[in-house]
Amino acid sequence: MAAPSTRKRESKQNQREIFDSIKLQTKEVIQSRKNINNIIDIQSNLESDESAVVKASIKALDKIFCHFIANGSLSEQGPVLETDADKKVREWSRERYQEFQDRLFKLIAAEQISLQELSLVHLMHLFQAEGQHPLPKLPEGREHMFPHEFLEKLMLHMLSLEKEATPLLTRFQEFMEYEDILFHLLRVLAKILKGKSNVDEKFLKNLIHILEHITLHNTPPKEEEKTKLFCSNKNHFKWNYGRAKQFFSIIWQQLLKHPLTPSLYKRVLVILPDKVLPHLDKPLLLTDFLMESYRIGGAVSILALHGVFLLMQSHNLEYPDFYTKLYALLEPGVLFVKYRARFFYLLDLFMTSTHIPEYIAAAFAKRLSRLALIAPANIVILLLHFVGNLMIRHRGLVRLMHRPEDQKDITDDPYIMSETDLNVCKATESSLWEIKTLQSHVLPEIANTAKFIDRDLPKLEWDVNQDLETTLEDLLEKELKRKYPTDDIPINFEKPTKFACVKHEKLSAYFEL
Amino acid sequence: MGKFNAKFGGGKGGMKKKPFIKRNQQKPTDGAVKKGEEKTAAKPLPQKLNPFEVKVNKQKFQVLGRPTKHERGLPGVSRARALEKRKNTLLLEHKNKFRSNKMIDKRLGEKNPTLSVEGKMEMRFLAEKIKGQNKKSKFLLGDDEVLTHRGQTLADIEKFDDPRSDDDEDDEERLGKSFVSDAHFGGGVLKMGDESEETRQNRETLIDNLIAESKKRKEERQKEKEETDDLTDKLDMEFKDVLDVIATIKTPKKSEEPPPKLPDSAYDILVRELRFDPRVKPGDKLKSADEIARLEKEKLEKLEADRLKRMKGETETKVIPHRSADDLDDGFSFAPLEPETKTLSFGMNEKDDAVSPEPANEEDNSEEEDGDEDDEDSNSDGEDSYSDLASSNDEEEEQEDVETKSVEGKVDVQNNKKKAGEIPFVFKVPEEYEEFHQLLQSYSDTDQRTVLDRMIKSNHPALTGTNKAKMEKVFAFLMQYIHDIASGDTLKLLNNIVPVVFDLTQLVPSSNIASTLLDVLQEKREELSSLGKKRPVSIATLVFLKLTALIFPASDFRHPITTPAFHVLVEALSSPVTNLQIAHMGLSLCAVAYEYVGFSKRYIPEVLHYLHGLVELAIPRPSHVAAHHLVHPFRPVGVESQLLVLTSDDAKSEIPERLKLIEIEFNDQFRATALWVTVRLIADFLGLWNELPSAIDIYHPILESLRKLPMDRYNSQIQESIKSLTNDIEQLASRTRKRLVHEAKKPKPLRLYEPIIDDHFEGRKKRVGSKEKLERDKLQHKIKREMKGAIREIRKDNTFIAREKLKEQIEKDNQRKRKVKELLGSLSNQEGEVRKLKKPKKK
Repeated sequence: MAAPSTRKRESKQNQREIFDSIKLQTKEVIQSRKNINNIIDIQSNLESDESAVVKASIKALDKIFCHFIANGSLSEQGPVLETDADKKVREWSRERYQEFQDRLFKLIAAEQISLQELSLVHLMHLFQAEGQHPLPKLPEGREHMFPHEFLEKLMLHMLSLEKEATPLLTRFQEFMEYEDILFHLLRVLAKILKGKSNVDEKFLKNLIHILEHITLHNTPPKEEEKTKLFCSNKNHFKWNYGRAKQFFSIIWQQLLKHPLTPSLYKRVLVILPDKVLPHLDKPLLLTDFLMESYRIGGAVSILALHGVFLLMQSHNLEYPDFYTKLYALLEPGVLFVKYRARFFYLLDLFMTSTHIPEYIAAAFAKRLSRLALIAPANIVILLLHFVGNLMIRHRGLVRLMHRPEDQKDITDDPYIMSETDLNVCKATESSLWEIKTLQSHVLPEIANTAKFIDRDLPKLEWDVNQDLETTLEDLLEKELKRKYPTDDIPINFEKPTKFACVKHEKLSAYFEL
Repeated sequence: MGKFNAKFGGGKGGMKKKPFIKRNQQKPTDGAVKKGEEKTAAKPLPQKLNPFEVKVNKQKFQVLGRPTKHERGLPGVSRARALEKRKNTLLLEHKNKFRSNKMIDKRLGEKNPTLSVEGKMEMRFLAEKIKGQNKKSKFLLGDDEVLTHRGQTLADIEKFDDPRSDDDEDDEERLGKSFVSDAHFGGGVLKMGDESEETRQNRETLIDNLIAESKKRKEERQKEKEETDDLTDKLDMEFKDVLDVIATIKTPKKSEEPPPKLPDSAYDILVRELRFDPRVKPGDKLKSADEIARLEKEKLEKLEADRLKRMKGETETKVIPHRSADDLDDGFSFAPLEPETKTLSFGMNEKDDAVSPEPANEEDNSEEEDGDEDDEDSNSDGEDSYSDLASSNDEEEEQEDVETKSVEGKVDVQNNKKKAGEIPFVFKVPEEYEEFHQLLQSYSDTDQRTVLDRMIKSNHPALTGTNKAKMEKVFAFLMQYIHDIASGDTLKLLNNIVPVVFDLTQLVPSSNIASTLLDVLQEKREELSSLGKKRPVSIATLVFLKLTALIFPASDFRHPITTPAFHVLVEALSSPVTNLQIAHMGLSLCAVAYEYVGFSKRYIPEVLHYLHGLVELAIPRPSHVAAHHLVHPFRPVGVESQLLVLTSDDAKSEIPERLKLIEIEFNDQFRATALWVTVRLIADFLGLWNELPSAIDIYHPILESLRKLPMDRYNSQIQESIKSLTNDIEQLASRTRKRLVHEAKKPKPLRLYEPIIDDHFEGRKKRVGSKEKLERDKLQHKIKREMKGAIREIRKDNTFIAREKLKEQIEKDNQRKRKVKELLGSLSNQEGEVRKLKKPKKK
């Protein structure tokens, strides 16, 4: 018992001694350049096994080098009158600084997340110092230079992280809020991607993670709204949307050349329409990519749909048989995919056009009501409202629910579900028996909603957007909130003689209790 | 109209036309008149009302209790008021139009016409004073101004030292009545009579005498008064001395002691007791056995009719039968009033079913049941004794009695079965669940029912009021007990417990049971979301879902308990199927679902979707090919899409008809049986739902899947079931349907000219509709009224302005005419003078 505790105490004391010495040495270095050799001592601590020591020395070195960068003792060009010894010292300290940087880049890939984050933060700190006091010799007439190479190195290290990089990348997002960082990040990324021919999956994953969080803006920032700049002042940096757009387009062009895994593919498709398409130089270049994705089917098609729609809407893309393709997407699977709400939102958008021929609207109404026959309860309401809205928009569809002139007995539904051609599926000759069926749905809310086909259609459409995200839980909550008279809740009056219903007993017919 | 009114001058219209406005009542004021002032100006009006100014709005009917607002109107007055208001506001605006400067008179009281000049000055002075006071200056004098009255400070006077104030002075100074009558008003003179000469001379002396006399009397009175004053002062002083003496003397106590209480006589006690004795209520007539049976039947029929009504989701709105104008209100109606009687026959049949013994599929339980019934019979003696005892309130007595009875009863019981012999007849309701659990555990499975029955009987709510709470407790315990059973390894015990639970539900208020069960269901629902992907739904969930259907009618269109239960059921079926355990529980949930909708035949898409998925799981296919019909909650590819595919061919042997619910081996035998159960369940549901208009569309995909099943790998029984199911589904295709039409609209009834008779008239017409609609209607009504009012006002404003403009124009014209006349006059004068001058020249 005693031995480990004493050892622990010893090691703790040891650590404290190291901390104290690091502190003292740092102070000395900053106070006078005579003690510059202390840097080597501190740097040796970077290799320590104990993370606490490493962290302490990182902090100390960061402090020292920031001090040096600020007072110019690290810059390439020294003051005019400089002795050789001074020059030597400067060269030497530059080397040490480079060493420290390299070490930090390595530490980005460290095991501990806290260590990773710490090194990132201090790298950015150094970066900021460099940005404010540029190290290399400035060309004539320029007072300021952005440390591109530093950023490039950082990005290369970050993107090629092998393991789970999300915490680090999330941390990096904080810095992406600064406009200068964002702008130069785009430039650097474009450069990296151009230079690299073959990239692995991890690289793409990290890159897409970063891209997911880039939001470009076109509007010049207002005067009162101060733009956040990281290491340049207002006179030197101005947000140039045109240039940013160029870099952005290059990044995406290069990125989409590489093959993507299915999950990454979906992620790309998710961010494309809102975050990417509006900021590309030539959005139509994405046509092939999107069309191809739309053709794949399933969830990918649904995701590509939005992009295709945007191209059609704002870039005059002509897509033949768009509605036929859309119709083909309406399979039972669509009711259960993750992006269901998105899909139905878009579908609603497509169907709001009043220029759609009636036969198309009829086919969609019929198909959707067929789907409603097997849909889970939370989606049935959405589908019902959807079909109702279709009929409100296309008043001619009333014959699907009211056709008094043709009251012969028919055995088959004229509608052919398996037919892909909207014109041939005979939806207009059918009736919406499906919705009639849903009137006897077990949940009263659905049964009541389905009653709309028995009456004249309302003037106003239902708000489908409300139903997009409803879950079964929401439905239950709504039901529980309903007020009943509490005093008189009906109770069965037929007494069961055992654990079985008086009538319709099935459980014990098929299962042994 | 005007003419007409004028002709028949006495009419109301004529009066209305003439605005009798008395200008002096409403002095024209400058500046805006404040509302309060307006009111004060209007107040004195009613006293001087000119009857011709009043317009009476005649009411057709006098309704008691209704506030009458507008029965009397003063059109003239109100018009004058409106005109005044316009003059003060609109006219000013009109006059100041195109003028940018404005003079504002801020002098105090300048705009108040009722104030006199002095009043105004006073107000201003006061304001000045207040202003000065607010500025607290240390040099401000006048703070110590002292107001006096007759040389005394007011403060002194206010002390009211002297009770004899000066108000009685007048009285005293007056002269005596006789003196006055003699001396005043020439009484003295007239009395003197005819001696005129002398009287005239004496008059002066007389008056002198008179004055002297009155002065003398006054003096006397003064003196007298001073004397009395002195005396009273003296008396006061003396009284003060005496007062001390009086204070020391104690006043004798007024209250006397109450008369000593006599001990209550027996008679008194009896009287008092009789007074507080509850009056015996007349009891119902004893009913014969026939009557009881008939009542029972009627009650059941009514319950069944209610159930059907609730199933259709009809809210209980009273349908007013058609009443013809010739209705004598004697309750006679030509048409049969109860069209439902036909459907009631259905209820009767059901009742027969309920009475008849259970269907055949429960042979293993029948023995136990017999035993139970015997137990009940044996208890009947005990029961009787309770009913006798129920009238007495003393619990202890009762218990003693019961115990003595139980000794007698034991003999009978022992004759029948031994096991019941050890069970006492009276049970207390345990305080804690642990106790309850132990109590039940100490008896065999079959005896537990007896124990519970007796516990309920000995604590029947009819016995004492507190027993109701006890029953609720027992119900809660039972729920927990059932939960424990459900997490055990057999559910057989439930067969004994559940009937007791049902009995309890008849004793405990339904809202209580409902809230308990609802809590359990919600707990189960929360459990569902925590299941994850690998664990199946717990058996407890299944048991409670079934229990809900046993206690509450699942056929109701909407029910506070069963509707949420549906939600839970549906949600339970939507958890992903990743292994056979989950599929097994899902199948059992589907069976429970059948019990839920057996009566109402309502459609549950999830159930059929699930069963369809199970069939698909049994179709062998290459592992990389995705099954087209397999969507959530099933997996379309991989091992999870092949869960029910047989792994070997030996499943052709005999398989059991039923699956085990607990402790089951998931082998090929299970797979075959599961498929069989699935197919039979689909067939059962087909029986329920074949009437649905799109049944064929629902079942067609299942038919396709059934055809893909590898029939040769299953035994003949399963093949038989599958074949009959496919046949049934194929037959659906021959069902005919008609195209949809809207519900026929009810013809609009002819307008009736008979009064609508409301049973509970509340003084006003009831508006129907949702809360939002009513609110909306109300607001719309308001808007309409306000709009009308505003339009009327604007119209009046316009006429007023037009009139003013006309006035101005006329004035201007008059002025111009006058000036023109003046000019012409002066010109003619000039002309005349010129002519005058010319004339003499001619001469």
